Amino acid sequence: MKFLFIVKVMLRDWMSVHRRYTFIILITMILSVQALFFIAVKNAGNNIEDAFLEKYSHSTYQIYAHEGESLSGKEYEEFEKNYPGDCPKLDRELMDKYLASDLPMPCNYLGEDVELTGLEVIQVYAVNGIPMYELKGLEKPFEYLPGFPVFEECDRKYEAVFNIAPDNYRIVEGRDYTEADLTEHNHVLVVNENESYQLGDKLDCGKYEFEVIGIAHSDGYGLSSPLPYWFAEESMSEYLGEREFEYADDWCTFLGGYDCTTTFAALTLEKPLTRAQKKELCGLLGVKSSDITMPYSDFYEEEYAAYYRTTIIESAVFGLFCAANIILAIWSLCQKHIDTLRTFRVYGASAKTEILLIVTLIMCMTMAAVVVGGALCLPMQKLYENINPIYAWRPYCMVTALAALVIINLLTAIPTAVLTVRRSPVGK
Amino acid sequence: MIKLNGISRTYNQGTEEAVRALSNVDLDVDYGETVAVMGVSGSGKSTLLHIIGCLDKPDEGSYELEGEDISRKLSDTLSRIRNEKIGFVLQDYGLISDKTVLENIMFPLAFSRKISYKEMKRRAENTAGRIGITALSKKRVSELSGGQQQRAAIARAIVNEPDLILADEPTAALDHKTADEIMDVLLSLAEDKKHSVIIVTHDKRIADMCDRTVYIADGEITESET
Repeated sequence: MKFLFIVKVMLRDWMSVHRRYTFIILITMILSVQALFFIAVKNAGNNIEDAFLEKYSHSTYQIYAHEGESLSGKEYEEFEKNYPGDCPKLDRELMDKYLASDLPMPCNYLGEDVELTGLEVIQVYAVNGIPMYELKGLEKPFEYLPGFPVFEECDRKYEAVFNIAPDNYRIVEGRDYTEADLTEHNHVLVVNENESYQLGDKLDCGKYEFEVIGIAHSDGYGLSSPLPYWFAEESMSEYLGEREFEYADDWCTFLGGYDCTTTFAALTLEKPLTRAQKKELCGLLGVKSSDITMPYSDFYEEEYAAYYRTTIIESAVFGLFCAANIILAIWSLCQKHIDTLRTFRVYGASAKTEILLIVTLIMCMTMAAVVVGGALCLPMQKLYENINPIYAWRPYCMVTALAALVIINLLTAIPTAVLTVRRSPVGK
Repeated sequence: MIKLNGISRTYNQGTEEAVRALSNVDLDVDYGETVAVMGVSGSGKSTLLHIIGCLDKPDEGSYELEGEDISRKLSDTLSRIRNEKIGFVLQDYGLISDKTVLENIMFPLAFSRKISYKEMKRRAENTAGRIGITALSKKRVSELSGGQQQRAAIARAIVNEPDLILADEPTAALDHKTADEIMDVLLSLAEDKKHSVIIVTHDKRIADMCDRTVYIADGEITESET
């Protein structure tokens, strides 16, 4: 009780000085740093997104449409006959709305004869430009095959997503496909390691049987992580017949996907959408803007790291400004403590008691820092989470704020201790 | 009560900046005696007060307090002696400005191991009554006048029932009327309770109120008059 009585005086010193000099500065600093990080994080997202759009301006948004978009009207009718129920009706009304909007026109990725008005836009899947399906080096590029019959009997979703861009994955078991696999019409599969397949597994997909020859690790490019990869040129040729697809040199990307009930293909926009256009598109398609996400890419990482560095520099400058103010306040606080300890010494406080008081003071203030910092951390963390979950570094801001408070306490206590010992207790 | 024999104190000893603050000082103070110490600035008054108050140690000589030589005691022992046997009254009062008068009076007791918090409070209230500042007990020090603050400081100095009261220019910041009142309080303590009081002052008028005046110059006691 007696010791508490003394400690309270020291704590009151702290509060009285901060009331006068520092408290507002300190609280302002904490809130401002938090706000700075908050703004930086928010801006980081927007700016990176802008940079991303700029960099991939030729192939930005991919809009999925139901099957049929690559078919002419006649082909579509034929398809519907063969696979009744598999093909949702085209929402021409929606597509007309899209075309009537100010949104960028889609590029003609399927050739000049494709009827774009036949598209039914059903989903904005991703904001990206990562070429998941580059059809390089192949005489006859693979193409998304709406309702490809091989998979008619398969009940796994996205089982037939195929990819001929080995950059997007690496083989962790077995082997990758080879040119021979493609040219000799082998029915082989390279599957995602997350799938339940084992090497050598046979997949009976109706007319064709596939063998799993490789297990691959995808780098997480999102969108159906284009595995398993299957190659069966024979079957494709069989389906495609003599149909030739024309690909312009600037044919940018093509995304394809398949599940057994709904097939869809991708539409690549020629130009990036502005935020207003993105909003308009979302409204048109009836999706939330959060559905339009950016894939986690190396580019994103780099940009993010760059922005993070900028944030650190800004924070450092701001921190220096705050530090200058705080140093003045710390000095005032030291003086106050020294006066108090000097009075205590005159009235019989021993050197041990003074040290004990300073240690207690540090402990009290550190605990206060943890409590105050923690109270600020939790809501702020929630806030950051709502911005974007990928900002995994956000807790470090909080830890930094906590550390700053603790350091301030130490900076206060150490000179107090030193100066108290050196200063005469009677007379100034 | 106190007996200083051949006390010397040199700061920065062994260096070129060595300053001999006190030189071969002899001083006796009896129980209930009031002694004024006068001298110009830098004459060694404060050093003398520090040594008498156990805040500093002499380099040479002996210091007996109530018959016990304490000149070579350890720091912790001196702290205890300071707490139990010596009360300080400072020119700037040395009060904690944002605490109440009663809390300030309690402080010396807080460093004493012998009494409880409850007893601390009771004694502080009694002491405030003795000095006539009961009405001010619950006021913050920052709300008091200079005279009231010095009264509070005196109350704080005597709350431990010390044998010796050291006052370092206690009236320097006060007007004559208030200074006289403060001196009345200090002198009455010496009369009533047999406290010994040593007052460092520049004011001859204040010194004349004491039983004896000691003059100090260049670290040496040059004159003593009663």
